[in-house]
Amino acid sequence: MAEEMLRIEGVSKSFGPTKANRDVNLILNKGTVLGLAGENGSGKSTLASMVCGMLKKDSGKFYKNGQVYNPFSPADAAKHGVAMVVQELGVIGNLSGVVNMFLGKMDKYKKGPLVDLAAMNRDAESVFEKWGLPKVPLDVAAGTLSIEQRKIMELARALITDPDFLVLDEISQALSQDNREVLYAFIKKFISLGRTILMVTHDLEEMVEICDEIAVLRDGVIVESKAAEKYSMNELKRLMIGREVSGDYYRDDWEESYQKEVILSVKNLNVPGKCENISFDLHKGEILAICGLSDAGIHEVGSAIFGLEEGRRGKVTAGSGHKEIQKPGDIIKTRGAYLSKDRDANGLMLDASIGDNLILPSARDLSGKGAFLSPVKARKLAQRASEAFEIKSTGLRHIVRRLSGGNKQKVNLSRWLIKDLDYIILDCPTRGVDIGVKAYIYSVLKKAKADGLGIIMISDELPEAMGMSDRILVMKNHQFAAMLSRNTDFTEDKIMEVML
Amino acid sequence: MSKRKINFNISTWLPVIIFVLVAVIFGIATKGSLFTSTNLMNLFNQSVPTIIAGLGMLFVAAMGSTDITCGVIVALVGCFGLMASTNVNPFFMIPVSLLIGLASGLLLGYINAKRKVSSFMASLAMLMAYRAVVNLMLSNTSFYLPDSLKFIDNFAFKIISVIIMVAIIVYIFHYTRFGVYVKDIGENEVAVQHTGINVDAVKIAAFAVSGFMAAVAGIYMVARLGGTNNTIGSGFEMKVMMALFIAGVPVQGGVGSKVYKLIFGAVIINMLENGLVLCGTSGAVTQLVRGLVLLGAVALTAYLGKHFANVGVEAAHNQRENAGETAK
Repeated sequence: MAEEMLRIEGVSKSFGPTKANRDVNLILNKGTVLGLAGENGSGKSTLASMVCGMLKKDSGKFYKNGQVYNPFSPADAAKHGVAMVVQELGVIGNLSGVVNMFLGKMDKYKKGPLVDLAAMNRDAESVFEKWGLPKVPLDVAAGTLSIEQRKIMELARALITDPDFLVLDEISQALSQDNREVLYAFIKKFISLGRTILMVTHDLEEMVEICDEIAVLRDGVIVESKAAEKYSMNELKRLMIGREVSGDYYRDDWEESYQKEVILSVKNLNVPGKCENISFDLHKGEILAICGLSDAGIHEVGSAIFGLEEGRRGKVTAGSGHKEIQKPGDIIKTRGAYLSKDRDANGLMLDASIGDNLILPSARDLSGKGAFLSPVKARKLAQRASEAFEIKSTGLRHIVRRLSGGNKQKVNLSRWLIKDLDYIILDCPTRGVDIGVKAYIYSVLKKAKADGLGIIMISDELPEAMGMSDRILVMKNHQFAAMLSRNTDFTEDKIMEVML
Repeated sequence: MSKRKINFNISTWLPVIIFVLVAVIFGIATKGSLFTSTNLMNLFNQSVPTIIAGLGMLFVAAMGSTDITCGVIVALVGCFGLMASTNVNPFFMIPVSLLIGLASGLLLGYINAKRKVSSFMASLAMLMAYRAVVNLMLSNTSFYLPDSLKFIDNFAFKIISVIIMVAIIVYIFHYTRFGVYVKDIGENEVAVQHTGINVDAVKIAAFAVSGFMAAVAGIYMVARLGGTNNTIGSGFEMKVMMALFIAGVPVQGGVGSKVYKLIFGAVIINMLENGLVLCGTSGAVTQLVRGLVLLGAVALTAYLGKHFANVGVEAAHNQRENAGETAK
């Protein structure tokens, strides 16, 4: 009978008001692969990070080989035989492959004040050999390796400590078909030694094929956990995303509705390596969603239209005059706006006051004769924006960094919507905001749509895209995959089918 | 909604506090000779160029950038401005000087904004090159101020012209969108770029203002000296930078940059030096004290900015929440 490797008992974790994991219970047996399925933000990575000691759990317990296991750092986890390959590329580009592999593990190789590079090289080679991984040049700077080579190097790095429990977070996404085969062969070999793998992947077919067992996470809760062959693909998808859409939260009509007038026209938009041949028209009063898997290129479409991507080809025109948009200033001149996904880095001035932030996009409109920017007018505008959007603060001098995520996003949105715009490009407008603000943002968008604003909503969340948009442009592998209409096509199955 | 609150913000009053502190300390240490009318006149004459060059450098500092060419621009002004006035027409000094400053600022702005070289490195390189030019030109000649330009050093002319300049810069820096953009670039350059503003053009303009004002300061310094030599203006850039940062202009730039802070700072730094000289301290000790005071002031500004900014009731809760989001 199967022997237990890791037991997760009643583990919870929250970030402020967001509960990333709630009372998670799982048992992972020796010699098996367990897959974690779930949407973005369902808490998969959080759970994996806690197992590996990168995050601290709030409550609950881990048992490894029957003993309480409470890692306080990745190094501590490694001592207990737990290793992880992370989703984001965790290599230091200017250091050589070997040095990257042994970062934090060099004590063993100390030779007086120096480290023994030759011994490190030998040990690294032996790891590649032992597990049958394809050779990666380790003596060059890691930054010059391809993403695929880096992933394999990271896998080898995780294996240096000879773990018996391995976490693979989205590793296969970066790999091509033949290297995937290598990975699968490695996984078979690894578990045949009675070891265990916890695997996180977006590729559901792969998951069903590779994993012995699959647990589905939704909103931080395990909704189902059973042997992989007992799932049908449709059941898996339904369990992952099948939440009920509440009535007044999103739009309640199910019809495509917008005016005839085209407000933004994109033709053959190309950015090398990011998006290929994207064409569409945005109409007055339309909400057009752009959806796709995390690396499908949906975010790049937004920044490319705005004019921030290098090497952009194709034609973007706005308004009835078909004015061409080439650089960021053109969007503003054609009464448009673009809000990046990363609101803290690209949108807000965190250490400036709410007032300063609210005024920035309108500074041009506010200045009068002699370039005079009236402080009275500026304060009035900021006051108006802050009141219209119910920004909760102690006043306009409140520093933006000290606001909650939701209120930050309100500041970010309100300063644009207070202007008289024709169209707006929103990249993940509800990212990192709580349910209340989310509902508020949707109501604002509904109103803006009714007023004739054209909205492009780039979204990671399918329910949101289906709930709010008139049409959904689906992208797959940086290319146009389908244009779906609210009238007929808005079912999760249909969208997932084009997306995957 | 809009309640009138007494909003005591320590950062706002920091320049005044340091000013009073330095005045009192040196007033006692020099047994009052700091405040004799001749010495106050000295202090005024020393502060004028610092204030003028600082008014320009403020635009660069507000963006979080650095321009250390102002000292050497003073030297260029002395050299080429006086050369023009000696050889062509006495009044040619003024346009030639202003053009030199403007051109140098535009060049630095172009290198920084378009060629993406850090402003510190670019201006350091320019400083070295300009200084070499001045040394070459003045190795075996010297120039003197023509009598018809002596009016520049006249007290009444000086004070009136400085007041006008301060008024103009206050207007540009605090009441136009150029001023707003300059400070906002210091807060978050990417965010400004995302609102469709031509960040490069703003940057180049800011450096141009800085170079231009350095040239104006140069004219006053040359007029004060009555001529020029090849060491004029050396170390001046450090003095102007100290004037900015000693009175709480944030080193990283941003909306905390204020004209009044510079003016207090310029007087403070000159009072400090003047006071040390009156106390009879040696040059080396003066340098040491300058360094320590600057370090203290900058550290204090950073500390105050972190701990005494406008904090709301929800601050603690929100900060926790933000920490959670960052972790995700």
